[in-house]
Amino acid sequence: MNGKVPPHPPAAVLAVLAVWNVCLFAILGRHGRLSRWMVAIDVSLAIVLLALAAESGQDEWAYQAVLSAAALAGGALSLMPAALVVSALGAAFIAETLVRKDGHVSPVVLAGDLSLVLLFAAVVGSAAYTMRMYSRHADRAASAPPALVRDLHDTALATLSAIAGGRVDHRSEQVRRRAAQDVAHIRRLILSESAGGETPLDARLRDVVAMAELLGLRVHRQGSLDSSDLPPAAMAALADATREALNNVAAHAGTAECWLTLMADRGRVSIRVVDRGRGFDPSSRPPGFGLRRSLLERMTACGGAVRLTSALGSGTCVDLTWPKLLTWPSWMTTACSSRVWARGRAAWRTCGCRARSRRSTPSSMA
Amino acid sequence: MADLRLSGAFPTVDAFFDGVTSRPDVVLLDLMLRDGSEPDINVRRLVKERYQVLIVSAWAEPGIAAAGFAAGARACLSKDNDLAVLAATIRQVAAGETVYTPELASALLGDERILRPHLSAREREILLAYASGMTLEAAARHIGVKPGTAKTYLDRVKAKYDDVGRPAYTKLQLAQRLREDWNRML
Repeated sequence: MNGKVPPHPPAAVLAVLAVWNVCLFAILGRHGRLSRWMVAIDVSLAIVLLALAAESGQDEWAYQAVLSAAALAGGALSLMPAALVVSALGAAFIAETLVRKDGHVSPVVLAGDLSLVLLFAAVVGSAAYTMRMYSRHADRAASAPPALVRDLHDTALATLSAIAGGRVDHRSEQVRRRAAQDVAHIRRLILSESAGGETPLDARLRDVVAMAELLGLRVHRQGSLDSSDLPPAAMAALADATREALNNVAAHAGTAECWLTLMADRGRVSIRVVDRGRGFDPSSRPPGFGLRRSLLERMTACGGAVRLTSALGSGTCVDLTWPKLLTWPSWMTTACSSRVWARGRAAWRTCGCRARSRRSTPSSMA
Repeated sequence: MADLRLSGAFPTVDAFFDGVTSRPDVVLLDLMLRDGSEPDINVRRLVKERYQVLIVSAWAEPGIAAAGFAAGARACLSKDNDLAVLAATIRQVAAGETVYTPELASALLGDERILRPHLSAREREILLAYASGMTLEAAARHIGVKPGTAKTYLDRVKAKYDDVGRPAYTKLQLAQRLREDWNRML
């Protein structure tokens, strides 16, 4: 029976394949990375070929298409999506083989074929991961020194040259305060340098803190976060909410000192603003009553959570948390398709966090 | 600040022992001294003579500050604090209290030395609250315990660090410490 069938798929399918491969190379050459749509198309083509092979009984082309689609998925997607795609391909291949051979399949041969599919995905995937890590490190190393120079130029150097030039009196309160800010800034630089450079979130928060310091607030800032996995919306929400929390300290706490702490704990990003001011009674409406609502709105909109604890006379603590990835290490999502997944997870977690904050609010406020 | 008086300033701990005339209640110790001496050994020498030590440093590596704490320092402050904060801390240290300044708490949390004590989750939680600037009441409320309980956690942290910092000056003491630890393990 095999002798009668042509050894290749119909010409139309071959033409589509050829066009697709040309497109693939063209897009790849232009953008330098694979998107999940390209993987989707490649995978569907492979599945079409499998369907044809099940009818024709010739699966050489289909198997090769499965291998290349698996490799593409391994290279372009992060671990979980890639695993899903590869298992889908594997399942389709098994189905095709069963149909084609009427169920008379040697498990050993089938396992051998499947493991080759897996191997392709794994080899290309790990190579892509290594390249991504390498380029990320290279980016960091290349960008660090100019940022540092600019930082010092705008801060400590400006203050020092003003004093050296005799333009200001170094004993004046204004200069003293500025010097104190510079000291704090350089300390943060040392910290963030040792932690691998300033991240985008750090930079945003630096601006927020600078604004708060203009209001006369003394902000002790500690910690640094790797924000490379934060979606822009979450980063913006965290920075805005931090600004509001600091504004609230300046306006209502009755103290000029507060602490801003950045933490990452088990995949959760958390920013904490603490003051030792007059606090408020959580059972009554807090001063600056918009605070709780506006923080809550901002943070829940991006899939995060807020916790506000306070008592009369013993300060206020605002905890802003954004659930990053609880289950997967960060590198798994830095691939091209990470954003959609992050959004999905954030949305999923929003429900969980809302429920959790509902549960925790009464106890923490009591 | 009428109750505070500077009784002398010295570049090194040796110079302090040579030159100190009236016994001060609190010694403010920088981690980086001119003679390049080891910070924790400096703390230990002062504590051995029953001085209350307050570490004041421009920037303390967590491990170094934690080693100073293990050696018996009462608190740790960074130099950018206000005079009022410094004065308040000096008063507490003079009264023999251990002051968990945010600097000290975050140093203990960031302590990655091999010889660090193992802190329980609760102890780390309370340190984290302190590290983020909370007072005892606020920290206790934040982790959902009574202030007295929070105080107990802190005392436990102190005890663990004291334990790690127990000096072993001689071979005999070292042997004794080993035996104590061994017996505790059994």
